Amino acid sequence: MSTTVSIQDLKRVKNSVIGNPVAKTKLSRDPLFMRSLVECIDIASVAGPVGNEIRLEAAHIVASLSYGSESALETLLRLQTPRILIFALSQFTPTDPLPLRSAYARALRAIVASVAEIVGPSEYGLRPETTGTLQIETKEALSLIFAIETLDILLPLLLSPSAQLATPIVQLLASATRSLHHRTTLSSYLPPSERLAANAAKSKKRGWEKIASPTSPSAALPGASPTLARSTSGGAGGGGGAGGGSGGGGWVVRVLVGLLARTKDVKLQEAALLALVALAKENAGVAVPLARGMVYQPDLFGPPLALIHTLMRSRNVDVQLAACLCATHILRASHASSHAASTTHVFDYAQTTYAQVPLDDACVRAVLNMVNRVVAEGGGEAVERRFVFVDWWKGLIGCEYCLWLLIFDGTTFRRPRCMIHARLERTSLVRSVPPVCIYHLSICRIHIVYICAIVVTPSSSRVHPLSLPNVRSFLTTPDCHLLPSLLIDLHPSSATPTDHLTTDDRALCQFAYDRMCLDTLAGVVKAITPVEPKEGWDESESEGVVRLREVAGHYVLRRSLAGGFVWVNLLEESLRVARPFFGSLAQIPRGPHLAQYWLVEHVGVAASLTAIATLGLFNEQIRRAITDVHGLLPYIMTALRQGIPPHELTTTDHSLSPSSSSSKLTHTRRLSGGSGTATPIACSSSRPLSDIPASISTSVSTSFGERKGAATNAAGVRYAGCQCVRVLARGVSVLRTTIVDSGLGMEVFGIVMRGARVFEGREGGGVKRRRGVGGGDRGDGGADGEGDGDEEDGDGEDGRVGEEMDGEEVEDRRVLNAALAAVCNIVMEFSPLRPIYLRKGLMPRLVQILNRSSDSSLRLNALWAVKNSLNRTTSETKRDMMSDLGWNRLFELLHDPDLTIQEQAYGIIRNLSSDEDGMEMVFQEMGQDAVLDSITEAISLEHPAYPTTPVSPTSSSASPATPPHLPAPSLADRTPTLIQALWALANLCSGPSTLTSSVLQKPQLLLNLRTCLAECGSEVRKPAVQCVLVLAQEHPRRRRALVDAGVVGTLRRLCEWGPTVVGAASSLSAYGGAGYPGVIGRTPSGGAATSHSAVVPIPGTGTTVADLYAQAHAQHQAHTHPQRPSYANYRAQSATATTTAGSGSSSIAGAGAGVSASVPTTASIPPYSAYMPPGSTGASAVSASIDANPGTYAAYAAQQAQQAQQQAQQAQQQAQQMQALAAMGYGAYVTPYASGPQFAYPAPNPSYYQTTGPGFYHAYPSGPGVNTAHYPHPIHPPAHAHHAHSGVIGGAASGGATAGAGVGASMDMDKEVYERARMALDWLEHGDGSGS
Amino acid sequence: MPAKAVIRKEEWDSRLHEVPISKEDLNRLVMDYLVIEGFKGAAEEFSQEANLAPTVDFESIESRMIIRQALQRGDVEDAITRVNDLNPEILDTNAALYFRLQQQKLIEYIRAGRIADALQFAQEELAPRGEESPEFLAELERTMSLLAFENATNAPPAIADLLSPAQRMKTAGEVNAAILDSLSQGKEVKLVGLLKLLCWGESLLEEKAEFPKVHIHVDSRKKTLS
Repeated sequence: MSTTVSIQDLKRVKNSVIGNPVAKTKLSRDPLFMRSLVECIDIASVAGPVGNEIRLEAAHIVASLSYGSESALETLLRLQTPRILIFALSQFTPTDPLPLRSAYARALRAIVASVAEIVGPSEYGLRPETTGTLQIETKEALSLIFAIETLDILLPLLLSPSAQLATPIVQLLASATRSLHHRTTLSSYLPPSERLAANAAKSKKRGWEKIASPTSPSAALPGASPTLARSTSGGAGGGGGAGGGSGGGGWVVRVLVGLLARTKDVKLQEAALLALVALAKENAGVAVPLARGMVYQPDLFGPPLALIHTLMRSRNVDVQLAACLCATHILRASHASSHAASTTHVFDYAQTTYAQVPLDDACVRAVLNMVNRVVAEGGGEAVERRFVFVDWWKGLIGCEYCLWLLIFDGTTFRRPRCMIHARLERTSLVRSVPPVCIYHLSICRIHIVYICAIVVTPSSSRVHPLSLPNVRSFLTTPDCHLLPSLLIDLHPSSATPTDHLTTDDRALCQFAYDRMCLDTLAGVVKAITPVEPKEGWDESESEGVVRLREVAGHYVLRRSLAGGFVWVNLLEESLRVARPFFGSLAQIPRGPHLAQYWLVEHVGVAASLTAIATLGLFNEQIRRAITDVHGLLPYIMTALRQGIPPHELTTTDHSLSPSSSSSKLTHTRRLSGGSGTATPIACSSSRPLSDIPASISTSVSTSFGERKGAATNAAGVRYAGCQCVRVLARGVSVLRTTIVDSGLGMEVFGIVMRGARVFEGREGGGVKRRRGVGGGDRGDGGADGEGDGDEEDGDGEDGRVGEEMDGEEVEDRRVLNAALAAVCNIVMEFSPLRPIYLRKGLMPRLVQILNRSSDSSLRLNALWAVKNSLNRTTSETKRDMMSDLGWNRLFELLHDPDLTIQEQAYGIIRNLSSDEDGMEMVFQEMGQDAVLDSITEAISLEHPAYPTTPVSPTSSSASPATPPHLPAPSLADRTPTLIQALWALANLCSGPSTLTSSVLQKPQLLLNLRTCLAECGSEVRKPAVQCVLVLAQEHPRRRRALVDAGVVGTLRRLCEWGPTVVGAASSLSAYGGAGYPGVIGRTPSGGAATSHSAVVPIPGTGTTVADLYAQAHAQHQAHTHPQRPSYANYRAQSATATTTAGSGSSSIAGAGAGVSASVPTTASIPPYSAYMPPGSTGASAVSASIDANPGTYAAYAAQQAQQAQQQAQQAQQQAQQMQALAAMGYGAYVTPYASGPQFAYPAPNPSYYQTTGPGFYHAYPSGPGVNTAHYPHPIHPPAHAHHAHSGVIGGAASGGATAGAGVGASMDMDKEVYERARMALDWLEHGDGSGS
Repeated sequence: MPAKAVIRKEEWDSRLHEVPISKEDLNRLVMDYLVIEGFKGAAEEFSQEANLAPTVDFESIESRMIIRQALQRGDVEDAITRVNDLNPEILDTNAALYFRLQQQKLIEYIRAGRIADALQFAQEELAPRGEESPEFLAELERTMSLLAFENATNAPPAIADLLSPAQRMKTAGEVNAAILDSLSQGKEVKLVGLLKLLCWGESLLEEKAEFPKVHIHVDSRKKTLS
């Protein structure tokens, strides 16, 4: 077939496609040509020799096709092009012509770059989401790149003497490395020979195999873990020696630095710098060695940072910029690592470490010096040029660079600015298209702040004196007519630096609030935000501006807290001066919506945090400030409605009516003023809105350019709006009043319901699994449907895909997710909106999402909302809701492959069985055996070993898929589920004996219960012991069963050694008062779900309504609270929660608890503190040695880890936990954790250790296939949960950490468990509870 | 106003001579000029004579010049083909430059009076670019407005400029710069930058002192820089 393609043809094609996305898309529709094209480059498939020239041209075309047209990219991926290219690269010999090899490498680079951009997380903003098969295919392609075999082929090319070959590979690394997983994969990579030497005895299991399914978050982490294991063990094996293969940074980093040091080629330098950026971003394991220069042979290169430093003075602007970026990221990540504490979210180091640890001023000064030197060299000239014909990225960096000049050097300040000005006049392109320059300039404002971020280092709560005056003078320059646009853009996105700098930070938050900037901010917000969008105000927006707002919104939401900190400083100083401009700002019809998100999010979370610290003193005050004093709600409303065409808004209601079960009600909706529903204007009155189509799902054929249109932005804005509502809804009183009155609640509801019509329409038409009509060559919708189609009611699961295919105006998935999250908060028991929602058909819609959506986070959030709706509700409502959900369905959910879903499902059981009626309902409707066997299975610690098959036939589809593919994470991952199942069981046990006697007839259940009791931490034990207690009390005659199950012995053991630990525990906290640390409500970003400890300054997590509410109702509701502690938190929960509750408003106490809570490694209880994090109080010798010499520490930590593990295993073998306790002084109960397969790698290496902290933190925004830094989609609960969990494991894996886990476990043997155990024992032994 | 200090020529010269300037640096400056301005033969010769290692493949100089000439004579198609042969990434990743070339092509159509071709080309090639990147639209419109005038003389200068040779030169310069960039070369002749710097420095000094200037503007041939 290749013979049909001639070189002339190829050249012609090449010239036609280059630079022309339309032509690319068109070409990709020609399957014949595409196939022959790919065959041309496939050196394996062609028998006859294809001329190298043809291959060369074909590779060029492939490279070009992979950029700019999704359709073309998709076709290429379908044809396995990456694989073919990689194979070819592996087959080439040095005798093959260099241009050919280079062309292949570049083609691969181009494909990978596009793929990575689609897989994301994108570097800036909420990108148009790619859905359907392309998403899957790109993920596969990306995981292919990070497969060890591929790396074995590609990475050695870095050593190629020719820059032409090395450069594309370096660029490939720079663009593809986006997630923590990628970073760890790369930084732990060793070339095959070294790898063999390093871990000859290692198991064959490779982490990369797992990454292939990032959609199921649970898969990715276990993937990462073995990788870590490899690196860590490598480090330990090498004795933690510096310069060892896996020593800090790793082989790849070393090679990159080597390239950087040797090459004179600026392209290669730039690429290497960017690759280092990609690797070092948020990754202290790489950044610290780079910054401190401990790893690389110092006599050869010197510290890498110094090298980068010199490159900042390169003659080439690109290199300068890349070097600046690189240095910034290195500094930042290494700073973060020295403040590991700041990355753990339940940690109040404001009063402790935060203020005391001196910042590494030297590094910052270095950067400043570099910049000043750059300025002195007069690089402005070159930068100025960059403003014109630059692509997006370059322009961004150019602006950033320019602002470096502006900010750091007052003397040169005027010059570059004037040059910009002059340039704008001179350049016809820019002159004629002002948006371009405005765009570029407005990007600057990100970097104004960004730069400030460098200056404001994490531990200093002050802005570097250099920066502010200059920013201010820039802002007040009289002739700066661009100021308004700049300000607007500066304004919302000033949260950016947080993303680059600090983590969410309670201290910062507090600081921001203390500065009382709210008035200033609100003024600004109102000034620039038109309540009623002007007619067509979106039309004039260039893509850049649109994009910008997205970027802004994204950052705003992600990192609002610390951003607030920077912003406060910046704005208070500079905006006050610039206040006269605000008048004109109001006239600029754009960028209106983000400031308030930031504001609300910021203040909302701040309020929550403050509330925790001060028991709600400020809470209302601040929220009221938002809602009443400043009246921001209308703006949020505008945001929620942005981008939705008016007809869509109005039809939202009607769309439900024809077929929805509650159709009658929807019509009356706007009239229903009862119980404070008020203003349903929200949904029904349609103000003139711009006609931007809301669909993100444009047709398949659209080019990238089109996809980035304004519509996307609107989705981002709505997304942000939903986030705001969610935050606001955390406040009980706000939830009860303002959210209702303002109509925000209904607006969010409208968003949730918006998609209903599609489904309804589909069902109404009687066409199940209707295929997409406009899908062209994409047959995936059908395929998906077939795959999961055997649901009980026969409905296809092609929901999401189908939506796109139908091209209907369905809400963007991410917006829907955020809205669901908000709904979760809104449907709390005390919310007046709950009954309204339910009446208006929330439940069917949730079920719809649950059943049809293929998106796991949507399903999770929907189920969560169901659970929350069920909390403390009447039997009537329960029955109604369950008739919507279906008992069979619930049963299936109990066996869902997704553990987080299981967890929620058990939570539902738990909520259902909160009273006797409910219990009866559960037993009756679902069947005693079905329920109890499910629970038996769920609480089995050795899941795979006990393949208890579910009784119900309906579950057959779900359960086999359960965890066989996730062997490692089983116990740790399952623990949240396990806890919920136990609580459900505890509820079910507490009924009348007629109901609960069946429990005692399940020997396996009792055995499992006993195992839980014996081997788990307190979070598990607590419900377990509760079950036992209830059973023992209620059924005196049936105690036999309990005794048979060996419960007595276990209880006795608990009681025997309990008090020792209780002593320690109670010294920290008094448990009794708090009752169970129930966590109601939800924190839509999932993983960081809060306990009482919700000091959690992660925006999007943080405390929920629950906290306040729970405090009010703390006494009795423990069992019925929907509880969602993440793994990271749940063990910590007890300590923190009790502290918080017990010690009242003392935030310091909270902090103390936070230490032990979030960082199991920290073990803040002196007797057990094997290790303290740097800067934490009472830093031990160990921590001192970290800073001084990581190598030593590594060795030490490795020892500790091994020791701990040995001890743990010993303990397990002997089944005599007292011994272990005696030997270690702690940690008897470390056994179940330490012996789990996932703990097979406790040997730490310094890099990973130091990552631990940031790892914790960054885990949240990231996720499988989710970048740590920039992923636009903070809501990804399963991922978060998972990462959180890994954080713990990671922590536990490192030296003292294992000890720490031990401490955590033994600490868990808290008073409450002990007392209940004691009581149960008395009941069992003496027949009454008198013993206690 | 304080009296300006007067610096005599001798003093000036002696100070100038104190500044160490290596011959090699000067050679590199010349080389830089020759390479960037595309004097392939001269560059080759010079690199041999001055014993300078070539910083760049001389062939690329030639192809760059051919491209530049093609643009200067209005053969955009040929230029595009050659740019793609040289490095397919240049135009693919630089939408603005690609647009600029397409625009030039449209101008050439209009110049040649091939209105039908021009329209078709604008429709098929340029309009999609405008859709992809709205910032090009205005420039596109400006170009299209050429069609409204019978000949360039009637058109307002802002539009007529497009037909001027300067437009070709400008496009050629941009392409040249992009190619240089892709070759990791500087885009501007360093000598030119130095001259600008000299002028700027002189103008600053002029406010404070009288000194013998280098009269580049007056007659750049008579004075040299040494």
